[in-house]
Amino acid sequence: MTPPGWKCPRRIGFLFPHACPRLTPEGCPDCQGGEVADPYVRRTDRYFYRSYDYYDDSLTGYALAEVADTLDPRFTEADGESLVTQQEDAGGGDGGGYEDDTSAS
Amino acid sequence: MAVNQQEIEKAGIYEAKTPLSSLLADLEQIAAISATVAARGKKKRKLGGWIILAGVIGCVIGAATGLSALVGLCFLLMIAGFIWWIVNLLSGRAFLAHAGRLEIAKQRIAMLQQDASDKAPFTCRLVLSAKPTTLSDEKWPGRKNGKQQLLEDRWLSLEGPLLDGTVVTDEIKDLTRKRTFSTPRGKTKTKVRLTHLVNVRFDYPPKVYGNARPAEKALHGEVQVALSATLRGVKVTEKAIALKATVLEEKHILPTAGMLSVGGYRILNLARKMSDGQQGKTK
Repeated sequence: MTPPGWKCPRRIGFLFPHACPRLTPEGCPDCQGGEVADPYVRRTDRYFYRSYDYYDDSLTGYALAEVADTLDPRFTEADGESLVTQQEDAGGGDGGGYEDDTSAS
Repeated sequence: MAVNQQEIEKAGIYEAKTPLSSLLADLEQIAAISATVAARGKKKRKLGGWIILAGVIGCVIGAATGLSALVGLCFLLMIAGFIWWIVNLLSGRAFLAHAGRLEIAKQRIAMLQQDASDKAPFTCRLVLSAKPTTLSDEKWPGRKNGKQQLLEDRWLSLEGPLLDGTVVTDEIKDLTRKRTFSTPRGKTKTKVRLTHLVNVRFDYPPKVYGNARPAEKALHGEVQVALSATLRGVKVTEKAIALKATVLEEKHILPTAGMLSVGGYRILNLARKMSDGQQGKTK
């Protein structure tokens, strides 16, 4: 029997994963009474997509590189100031300037 | 919400703003009305057939017995039966002509229901009888007396929020190209070509998904569509993903809408993973 206040820990959904709102796994068509650990991943009705939730690491890397490319590589005066300020803060505070401090070891 | 039978039969348009479960219940009700209208029409046409038959029998008896008055009366009965049959053949035809549209709308709503809240209101407009608007009407120089008309019939619009905050907008249109021309023998011919246009748009929350453009580039537009469908475009901006496809066969409209949705969310889910990864790095 399901204890009162029980919350389903499984992911469900067709397009994207979201929490299951059911109050009991009994008779659940998604997890089939608690038999399926991740109903979202186990679905096989997404047309051509056999592994819909799987993305190759290279894809994420490629996409992140795309994000990096969109950033402006040119430094402005403001960037320079912020870098100097950050270093000074770090060096004076928690020892972050260790690499630039020739007197340290 | 109760559907007004007379109104839906007359106008052939269903419009509502209500949760998906409610929309589905209304469409089931319209399906039941369609079945009733079809059965009623069949019954009336059958009656017309019986009247015509009675008129024919009466005419034969009248002719055999030499009763000219009976022949005249039965002839009138035959004409009345024929008119009754024709009227009932044509009435309600427009409303019943696109039963496929109702089924597509029902299944699309059931598909979206899996990722939408039970309480979130969706706007729906379903046109069951063809109401095309003319996009262009011009001369077609390809043939003698050539004329080309382009017609558009937007028959399904569906819009509402999903559980992740994305607003989904579906739009399905019938695009008709009608060409009329004269053959060398002087006969007028008309050629009609019908294409269905399926548009699916996701206005996603940037807070959840970040910017989806790099994810789309990484996947190289990996969106597949049904057999008789052609992908016409995938447009990704910092706020929305719009996907468009043309479909030749009506049976492929629903799978195409599903494939466009899955393809769009394949991009969004990758964007979310990247966004989560970046947020993790900055924390």
